[in-house]
Amino acid sequence: MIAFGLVLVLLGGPASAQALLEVPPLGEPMVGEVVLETETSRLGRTMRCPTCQSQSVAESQSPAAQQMRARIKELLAAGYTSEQIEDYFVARYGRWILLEPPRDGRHLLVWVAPSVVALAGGLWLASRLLRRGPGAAPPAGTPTDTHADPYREQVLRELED
Amino acid sequence: MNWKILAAGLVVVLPLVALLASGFGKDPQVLPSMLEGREAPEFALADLDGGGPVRLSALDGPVVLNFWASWCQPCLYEHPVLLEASKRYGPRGVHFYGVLYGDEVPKAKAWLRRHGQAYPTLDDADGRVALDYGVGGVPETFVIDRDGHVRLKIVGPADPAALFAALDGVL
Repeated sequence: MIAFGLVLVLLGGPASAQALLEVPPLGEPMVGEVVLETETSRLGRTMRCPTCQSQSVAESQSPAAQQMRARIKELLAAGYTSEQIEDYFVARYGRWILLEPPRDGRHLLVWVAPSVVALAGGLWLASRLLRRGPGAAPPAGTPTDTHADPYREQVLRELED
Repeated sequence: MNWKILAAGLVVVLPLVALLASGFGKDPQVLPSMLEGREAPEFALADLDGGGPVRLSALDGPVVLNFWASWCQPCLYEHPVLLEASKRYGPRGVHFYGVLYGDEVPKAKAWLRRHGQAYPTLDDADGRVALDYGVGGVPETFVIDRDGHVRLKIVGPADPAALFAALDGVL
C-alpha cells in the first residue's frame, strides 16, 4: 500500500521525471564499487529487461538493460532502498518489470497452487497406499512371477537357441 | 465410479482451461502503458548539434515524441509516417521531436541526412528520459496534449491512422 502510494506520488507531481529524487532516500548511501556492483546485479536479477523480455536486467547487454543497471547503481549510491528502487521502475514500466509475480490478488494462485496440488496429490497417494495395506494383494494385471512373463520367456528361449 | 472420475476431472480441467484461455488471449510482449492519461515526464535535452536544451514544459501546444535509433529497422519503416505527420500537423502547432535511443550522434546524423529530417532529434545520452517514459525498445511514439498529458503511446512502427486520429484529437 505504501508502495502504491509512492507510485501515485511519483506520477502525480508536476515534474514526475525528477519526482523520485524529491522523495528522500530511506537508506544509507551505498559505498564501495564491489558492494554497489553486487547489489546492482542482485536487484537486476529481479527485474525484466524491457527489450529482450525473457532475460533479466542483470543478464542482458541491451541498451535498455545497461541504462537500467546504471540507474539502479546511481540510486543505490544515493541511498535509496531496494523497495524504493523497485517502486521507481514499477512507476515507469508497471508491475510487469518485476520478474516475480506479485504475492496478492489472483496472482497469489501461482504461489499457492503448486503446494496445494502437491499436498492434495500426496494425501491421495497416502490414502490409497494405506487403504491397500502392506500385506494386501497387488492389483490385478501386475505380473506376480517374473518367470511367468511370456516376453521374458520368449527372449530367454531365443537366447538359448 | 466413472462419473466420479469425470466430475473430478471436470472440476480440475475446466478452471485450468479457463485460466489458460484468458492467459493465452493476451500478448505477453505488450508492455502495460503506465503513462497514457497521465502527466508526461518533464525533460530537458539538447539536440544532436548540442543546441537547446529543449524543455517539455516550455513547449506551447501538443507534442509528438518519437524514440528512435539508426540501427532500428522498424524506425526506418515508420519514418515516412512521421515526416508526413509533421508536414500535416507541424504548421497547425504540433511540436515534433525525435529522441535518440541507445545510439551514437554521428550515426544518427548520417541516418537523418540519408532518410530526411523534418524536425529536430534530441540526444538522450544516458537514457534517463527513455526510462522515465518507460520505453522498452524503439520505435515508440508518444502524443502529448497541450496540458502535458500523454494521450497516446504507440509501441512499434507508428500506424498513420492511429497517429493522425490522436493528433486530430489533441488539436
